Amino acid sequence: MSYLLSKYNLISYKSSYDNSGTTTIMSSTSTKSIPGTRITFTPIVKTNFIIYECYLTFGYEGTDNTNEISLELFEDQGSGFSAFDDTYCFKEGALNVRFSDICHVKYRIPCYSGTRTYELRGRAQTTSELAEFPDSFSSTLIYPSVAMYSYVE
Amino acid sequence: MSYFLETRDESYISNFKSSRLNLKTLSQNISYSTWTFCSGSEISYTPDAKADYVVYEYNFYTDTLNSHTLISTRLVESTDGGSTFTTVSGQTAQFNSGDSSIQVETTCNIKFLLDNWGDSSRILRIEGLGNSGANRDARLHRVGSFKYGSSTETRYFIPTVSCYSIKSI
Repeated sequence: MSYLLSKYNLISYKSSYDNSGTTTIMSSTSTKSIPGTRITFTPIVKTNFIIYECYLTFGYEGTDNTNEISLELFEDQGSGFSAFDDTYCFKEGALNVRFSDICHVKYRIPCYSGTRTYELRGRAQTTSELAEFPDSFSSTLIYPSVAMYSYVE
Repeated sequence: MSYFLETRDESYISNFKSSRLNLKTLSQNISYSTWTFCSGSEISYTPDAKADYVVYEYNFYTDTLNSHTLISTRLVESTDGGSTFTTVSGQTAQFNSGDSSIQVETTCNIKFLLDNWGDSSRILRIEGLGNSGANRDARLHRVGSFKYGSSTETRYFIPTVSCYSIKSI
């Protein structure tokens, strides 16, 4: 009989960042992928939970005086993307101002077997509340980054 | 017979723990006059005895209530299993705007670095306070008027809380 007790319980860590310089203007008529938030992850071992985490910036779209975007987590189990769950949603925006910010999202999701892909997708509230991901103000970009990892409880 | 040798002496992260409420809906008003426990922020944690620091992190969402979104937060801890809580000095943060014409709705992330308190268990959690003045409560977790297709509906951002130990070089 043997036991292995480890306090080093973070496993299967994967991360990436998007340095392509690509920016996307959110639309109010369709849902778009947020650049730099997509990641494909295969857990090495089956644990209880996995963490999805990303950092991204957004800014106002040049012609609008306010911006508001609805965003949520999407999942692809191998046959195409679909919205993950109604409790993995959020908005980024404000009234009467051009709102720019850094967004940090950390989701705990149930573990799975095999390979799945995750990303954030968004849609603007109206045609007058568009936003750009990432924020390209002053031609300076902060590259979006994303990570996933599993851990043993 | 087998042995497990502890040979790691460089910097590392250990004893990672996280929690997320298993709920389909969650909406919480944070009083402007009384510090209120923020749902989903509580975690019971025992550090790695050899670590230097403990990181506490709470990722949540702020919604508009009566045109207000400003929220102040503070970290509190319990060393008696949750019977009493005391404020952790220096661990406060404030989010959004006190201007009711702006109404910021956004994700918020709190991340505190704490000195390792030893191998005992403590309960950590966040308390929040809305903007000063009547009818200026803050609201958390609920995502109102979420746009999907051509319609809107109420959705939710169930918060995630986590703790881990850090051994420095």
